[in-house]
Amino acid sequence: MARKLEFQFGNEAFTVAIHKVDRTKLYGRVQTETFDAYDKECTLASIARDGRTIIPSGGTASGYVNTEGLWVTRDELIPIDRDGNEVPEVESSFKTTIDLSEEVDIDTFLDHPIRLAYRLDPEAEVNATLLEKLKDGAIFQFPFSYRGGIYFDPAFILRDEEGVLWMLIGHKSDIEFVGFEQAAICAARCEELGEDDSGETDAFDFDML
Amino acid sequence: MPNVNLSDARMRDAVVKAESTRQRRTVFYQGPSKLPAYTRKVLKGAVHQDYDSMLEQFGTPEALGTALAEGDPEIDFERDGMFLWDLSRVYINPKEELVYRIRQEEVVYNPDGTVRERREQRRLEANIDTEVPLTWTGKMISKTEAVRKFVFATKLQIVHINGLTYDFLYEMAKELHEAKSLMILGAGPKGRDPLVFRSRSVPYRGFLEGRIKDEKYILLLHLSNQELKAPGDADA
Repeated sequence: MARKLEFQFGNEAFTVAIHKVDRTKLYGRVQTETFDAYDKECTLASIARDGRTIIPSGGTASGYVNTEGLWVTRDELIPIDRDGNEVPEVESSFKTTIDLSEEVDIDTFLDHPIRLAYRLDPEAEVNATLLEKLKDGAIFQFPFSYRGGIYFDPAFILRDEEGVLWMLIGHKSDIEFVGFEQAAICAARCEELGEDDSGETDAFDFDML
Repeated sequence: MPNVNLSDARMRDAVVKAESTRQRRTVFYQGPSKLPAYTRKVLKGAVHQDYDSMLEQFGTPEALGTALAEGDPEIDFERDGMFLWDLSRVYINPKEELVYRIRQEEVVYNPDGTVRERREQRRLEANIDTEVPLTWTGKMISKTEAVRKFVFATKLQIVHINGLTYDFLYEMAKELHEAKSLMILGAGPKGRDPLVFRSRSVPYRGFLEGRIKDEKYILLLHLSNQELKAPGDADA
């Protein structure tokens, strides 16, 4: 069953069901199957540094230890920032009403890589002013956290060309103007990255399976 | 920080850098007595402790059940819980033995889960820094239209590496800034292939955006492998 979020625009609240849409649902998926020399199907596992401990999928776990090598349970963990200040926990967005008051320009939206797309299915009439704004191209930003935790992700609501409402969950990013003598912001970690003559973008194939 | 071989509207090309724009989150954890806590990977169980191995050892599920009730045969007191690092990935056969020679096939599934085709593994090669530069296609799409059509999963900031490439990239950014549009960037001789950053990595469609402010510029490469559209099944 789809989960529901409550939004508030002005004095009016409305509820939407959210449906995650990913590549698999649009284009399908590719699964790699591996066989040995006798055509027996193989599975991926890990081998430890001792060269003899073979660990199947699910055979490892993660835990926290302190500098003395002692186990620290999750309820003993305190999140802190770089200066040692405690990071306040945030509540799941499903437990609260999300205020849609921050309209952002298109460049702000374009600055955020999007990691999740949810189609929104309003349960009742959405505020007419909000709908009109979205129809005219408005994009609203709000903080979102699925389960709660230590931070919100930047999230956006917009309307596509078919009139469908979308919630897009992004990441924060470092993008700055660069000049002749200035190197661009160098993010500390390189990210894993992963026919037509008509000139129409529609003809580009996104089903790159 | 990959190199990108990029061409401009005049079909002049240069190798420049593409930087990640992802902002790192700097959250650390503290345990009791304010001692820093770090994640460690530990061993839960090796292949000789899984159900199949233990069933083979005890003969029947009933005998295995009795052994589990009476003792701890599933626990390896010598090794369980040991810290793990530098794990290597290996393939094992159904007998859970290491396999040294493999053959791989790809199974392509439709969105409804049915099999579309089986094929030999396809190996996409990186194409962003080859002799053939990424093509300035000239195909523009307005920003307003683009954000309503595509999901831009990744952004890379294209930056200069010297004075010549500063001029080269600034002019590109200026042209795109004035067009208020994103330009589709393609790979391959005809400029129609998706961009592949590393061998066997996910192919993306590339969209180049430019902004300028005085003598400074932003040249952003937006990468997408998904259209913003609902699946055929309305309740998917």
